[in-house]
This record gives sequence, C-alpha cells and structure tokens, in this order.
Amino acid sequence: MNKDNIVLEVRNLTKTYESGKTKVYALSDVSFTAREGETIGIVGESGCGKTTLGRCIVRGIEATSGEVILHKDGRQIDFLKATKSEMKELRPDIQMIFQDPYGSLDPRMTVYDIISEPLRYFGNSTKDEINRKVDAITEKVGLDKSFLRRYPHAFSGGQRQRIGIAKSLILNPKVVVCDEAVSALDVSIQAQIINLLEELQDELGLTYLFISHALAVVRHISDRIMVMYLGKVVEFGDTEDLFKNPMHPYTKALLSAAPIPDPDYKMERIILEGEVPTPVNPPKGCHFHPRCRYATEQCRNTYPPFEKRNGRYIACWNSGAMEAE
Amino acid sequence: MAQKKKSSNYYYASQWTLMYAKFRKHKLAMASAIILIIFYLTAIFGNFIAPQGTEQFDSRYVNCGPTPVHFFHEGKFVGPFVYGLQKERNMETFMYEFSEKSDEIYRIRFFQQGQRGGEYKWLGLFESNLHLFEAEEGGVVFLIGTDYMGRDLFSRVVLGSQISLFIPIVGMILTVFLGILIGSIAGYFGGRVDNVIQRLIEVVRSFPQVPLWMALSAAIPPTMKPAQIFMLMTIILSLISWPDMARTVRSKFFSIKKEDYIMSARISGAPGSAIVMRHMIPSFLSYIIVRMSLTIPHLIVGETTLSFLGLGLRSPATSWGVLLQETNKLETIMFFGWKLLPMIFVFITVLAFNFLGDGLRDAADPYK
Ligand SMILES: Nc1ncnc2c1ncn2[C@@H]1O[C@H](COP(=O)(O)OP(=O)(O)O)[C@@H](O)[C@H]1O
Ligand SMILES: [Mg+2]
Repeated sequence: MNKDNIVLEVRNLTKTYESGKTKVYALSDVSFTAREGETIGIVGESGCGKTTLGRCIVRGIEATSGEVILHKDGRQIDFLKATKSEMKELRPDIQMIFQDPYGSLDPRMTVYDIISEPLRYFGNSTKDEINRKVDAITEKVGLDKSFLRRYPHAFSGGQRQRIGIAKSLILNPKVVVCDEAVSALDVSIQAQIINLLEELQDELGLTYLFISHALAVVRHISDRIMVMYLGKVVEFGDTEDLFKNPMHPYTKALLSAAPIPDPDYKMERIILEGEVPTPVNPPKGCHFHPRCRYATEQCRNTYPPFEKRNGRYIACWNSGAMEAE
Repeated sequence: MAQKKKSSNYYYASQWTLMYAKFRKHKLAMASAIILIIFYLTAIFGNFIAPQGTEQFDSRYVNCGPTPVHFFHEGKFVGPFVYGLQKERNMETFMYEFSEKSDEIYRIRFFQQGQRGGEYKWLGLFESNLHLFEAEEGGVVFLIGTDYMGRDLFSRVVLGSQISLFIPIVGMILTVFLGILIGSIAGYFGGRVDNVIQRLIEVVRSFPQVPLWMALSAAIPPTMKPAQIFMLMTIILSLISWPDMARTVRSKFFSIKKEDYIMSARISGAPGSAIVMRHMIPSFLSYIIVRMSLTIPHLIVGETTLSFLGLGLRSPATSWGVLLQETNKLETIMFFGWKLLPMIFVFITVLAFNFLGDGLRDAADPYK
C-alpha cells in the first residue's frame, strides 16, 4: 500500500433532482481525489448533499453528470460510464456501508444469505469457496459463526452494522463509502464500530469516504476533511490543519458550533444568521453569502473558484482578507 | 443483544415462522381457516358426501322441508333416524305439505353402497357408489329440504360447492397473475409506462361492474358445457378485478424501491431481475397472499350474483348461485323458507375468507 497512490478521482460530479418545475441542485460540480488507504471525512449540515455524493459515487443512484475515475493497474476507467463487462470488474471495488442498520439488511434473508449475496453475482465461486469467504469475513468483523443461520431481526444495531460491514467487504473493495455508518448507534457501540473500521482499513488497505455530521468522530478517523455546503465543496484539507485553522467562513461557523474537547482550541462561537437556503433555489453568487458576515458585492454575484491556497482547497473570495483580520 | 431472553428459536425464525406464530393468535382467523378446510374437503369428497347426484330427483318429494334427524324414539335411544313422511294438501294454500309419521322409523346407515345416490366417478378416476349416509329403504333424509323438482338441497349445496369453491380459485390465480404482472411493470419501469397503466386501471375500475358482467355473460353461448360457462364467467370476473391487485403491487414496488436493502443489493452487483425476484417480490408476497384471500370471496359473490340473475349457470348444473335462483320469488320465500338455507353456506364462506384475510393481514408484517 502506498499512501500517495490515487485510487479514485471524482470530477465535476453533479446531481439534480427534477420534479415538475422544481429543480433540486443536490450536488453540483464536486471534484476531489482520494488516495489509497486514506480516510476522507465529508461533513456539512443535513441536506447539503453528503448522501447524494456517496450514492452517486457508488452508483446507488445515477449522477446527472461528472466522472468517477477509478485507477486500477495503471488504467483509469470512468466508473459511471463503465460498460457491462467493465462493471463486472469494477463493481466490487466500490462498496458502501449504510447508515441505517435496520433498513439496509433484507429482513427475509438469513445472515449467511445477506453476507454471501454479492458473491452470487461475481466470480464463479464454488459453494466451498463461498463458505470459506463468509467464514473469514464474519470472523474479521467480529461476528460469531453461529449467527449465520439467524435472521437480522435477532440482532442489535451494532451487530447488524457488523453484518452490513461484512457484506460490503466480502468482495474485497478498494473504496468504501461509509454514509453515517455509526450515527444510528449508541455511543459506546459507535466506538467499537469505529475501531473495527480502522482495523479493517489497516489490514485491507481500504480507502474510506466517511460521511458524518458528528465532527468529533470525523476528526478522529479522517486524514482529510471535505466541508460541503448546499451541494458544493467549500473547503478541503488535512484534518488537523483544517480543525485548527478553518479558512472558509462556513467551516469556521460549523466547527465553532460543535464542542471540541481540546484545551488548545479556543474559538468564539459563531452563530449563523439568515435563513437556511435550500438547494431548490440556491442563491446567486457564493451559496453562503446570505449568511456570511464577510460577504461583499463580488460574493453576491459570482461563485468563487475552488482553489488551492496554503495547502488547502477553498472556495471563498475573502479567505485572504480574513486571515489578515 | 436487544432481545434479552426470547426463546432461541426466535433468532432462527424465518418470516414465515413468525407470521404463522402471529396468525395463530388470531382466533377468528384460525376458526375460519378450519371451517374453510372442512368446506373444501367436503367439496373434494362431494359425490361421496352428497346422498343424491346432480341428475337425480324424486317427484314424490317436491318442495319438501328439512327432515329432522332424531336420536330418541319414545324416550328410547335408537341412534340417528328419520320418520316416514305423510303428504297432505293444505286446503288453505292448496299446496302439498309434509308431516312426520311417528310410527315409521328409518335408521340412517353410514357408508352405504347407495341405492338412491347412484354411481359417480370420484375425481374422474374411480367409479364408486359409496355414500356417507342414507336412510333405510323407504325413508328419505333431506337435511335442508328439497327444491321444486324434488332434488335434495343438501346434495346440491355440496355438489355446487365443487364449482363455487374451486373455480374462484382459478379466477383468483388469474387475477393475481394479471395484477402482479401489470403492477410490477408499472412499478418497475415507472414514468410513462406507469402513467399508461394507471389510466388503464382507472378506466377498468370506472366501469359499473354488474352491468358489465351482465353484458359479458350474455355473450356466452348457452350451448356450452356448465364447467366451461363457469370458467368463462370466472375469466370475466378476473378481467374486471385485477386492477386492485395491480395497484397494491405497484405501490409496494414504489415503496420498496426506496428501501436501503434494495440499493445495497444493487451496489452488490445484483441485476434487475435478481432485485425483483430475490428482494422485491418476497417482500410483498405476504401482502399478495392477503389479497388472494380477499379476492376469492369477491369472486364467489360475483358468481352467485350472476347465477342468481340467471346469467350464469342453469339447472341441472349446480352452483350456489343457481341454488338461490329459486328464491327470487317472494312466494318461494314465504312458503318454502328452507330454500334460503344454501345462502348460509355462501355467507359463512365469504365471512370466513374475510376473517382469514384479516388474520393474514395482521400476520403479514411480523416485524412490526
Ligand atoms: N430523491 C430525491 N428527490 C428530490 N430531492 C432529493 C432527493 N434525495 C435528496 N434530495 C435533496 O437533495 C438534497 C441533499 O440531500 P442529501 O444528499 O440526503 O443530504 P445529506 O445527506 O447531506 O443530509 C436535500 O435538499 C434533499 O432534500
Ligand atoms: Mg445523509
């Protein structure tokens, strides 16, 4: 595993929902790259498009436009436009762990059938191979073998999430989207599942796109953080750097709203003003300007470019001015 | 573990096991299931249970009321028997009336090679003239009386149930098949296809049902065999009753499509066919069964209505609707009230199917 190898490149990913006359710009023009073995935390208020981003990347839903390039054995293939035979090869590489450990397991299947389902569609494993793989993965995620014949209703949230993780990992993926993978669990169970995810990452060299609104969890697990606002990425940088020195006014507000248990960390609490805008009618110019206290005429008229500044990607006209403040 | 000390079987219980456990708690539905099983067994063994065949009649006993079955004669136990019948003209109504002659005793014999019942071919396979019960030579048992031709109504109810209970199952299968097929197409493809099907459903549903049945059944040539006529009637009924099923299936498709486990399957690489067959249909199979149990009584009532109106089967072929035809005159009900008794069987059956449906509906989602 080499932490500099790029495994995934997302380019201009856009998703709009249309129903009748209204258009929801759930995701617009999101670009970033992910390296082998890293965890990218994706944060932002509810409704900012995190789930949409994750699902478009795994092709749980079809993006409106954009590319999701997988780097594989020196080749670069657009996952979103993959042909049937390419899909057969690439599908296992990008998998997803769901938020809701109750809704994501088919209640009518035994744990064995759930975990082994992906193997039905890939490779022509014999019954013995399937059994071996299922045994191996159940052990890895810390499930007892005797659970395999049971149905999901027999399990607690944490155990169900382990079942979901086993299913997602049985195809040996490279990239795993974890959409609020621990948010529905009790706090004590959250820690167990986070530890499990970290162990599995070290062992299998997984790349995680870790979506969460819980900043403390994201800070703990992520190498880099991506901050989203109304379907767009507003800031993207190394975790500690970003937490210590947020540059985008929205990131500042977001971080200041969350209690961070860190004595060095002193920041006044910024209360966001103005109406929460919706992706149905994103404001003209910078989407954040109606709630931003630094907003200028430029902010009201033109969306700022997403640029690299001081080792960080940021979309803000004023970040330079704010640093001087 | 969230469930602390439920029996360990619970962990291994499939959907069907849980459903059955829940269904068993619904007493009325259980009782209905047992009644229906008895009715269906009676229909299957109908030629054996019915003392008379469809073609047989006895002109001596026209419009005879039910003959009570007695056990005691002058305070002494003799086992089941009937008294002989005395036929007299009532000088007020000028109609024959029957009364019991208390000195003639005819015992009821079981498992008789029947003289009155005659031969039949059980399931079209075995020739036999074995009958469950029969009165001794000279006596007659009419449990619920006879009709205007002297045919035993009980026999006709039993033999009629062969048509009235089974052909609705064929109709139900057809209804369910059409409903699932059309509903899945609408639900799976959505968009334009769905729109067209929705309109079609509305059109079919907006027809007034009874006149439509009447028009269609009037088109059936009367020269056809009774079973064929009945089959056609059922097909007609199914062609009208599939939209409800299709609607249910369609809306299930739409709600289940949004479930995370469907997306999870897709991300696991499941092709569309596997998603439908492995995840979607099983998830609403229980609802389909509920609908099935509610479609049958609908078809039974439909058949009864048509035949009652004289648009379906005609005598001597028999079904429950045909039996009720005779009661469409007020005098019949006034003088020969027992001729309404076949209605009780229709009533019980329809009610039982509805209770069964209720129980199945409660059991259908064992996870709630
Ligand atoms: N199927 C859909 N149809 C219309 N709008 C949708 C649909 N799914 C999500 N949205 C909208 O897209 C936006 C982003 O949603 P989502 O990605 O779920 O946000 P998050 O996960 O960050 O809370 C929201 O405004 C939501 O209302
Ligand atoms: Mg979300």
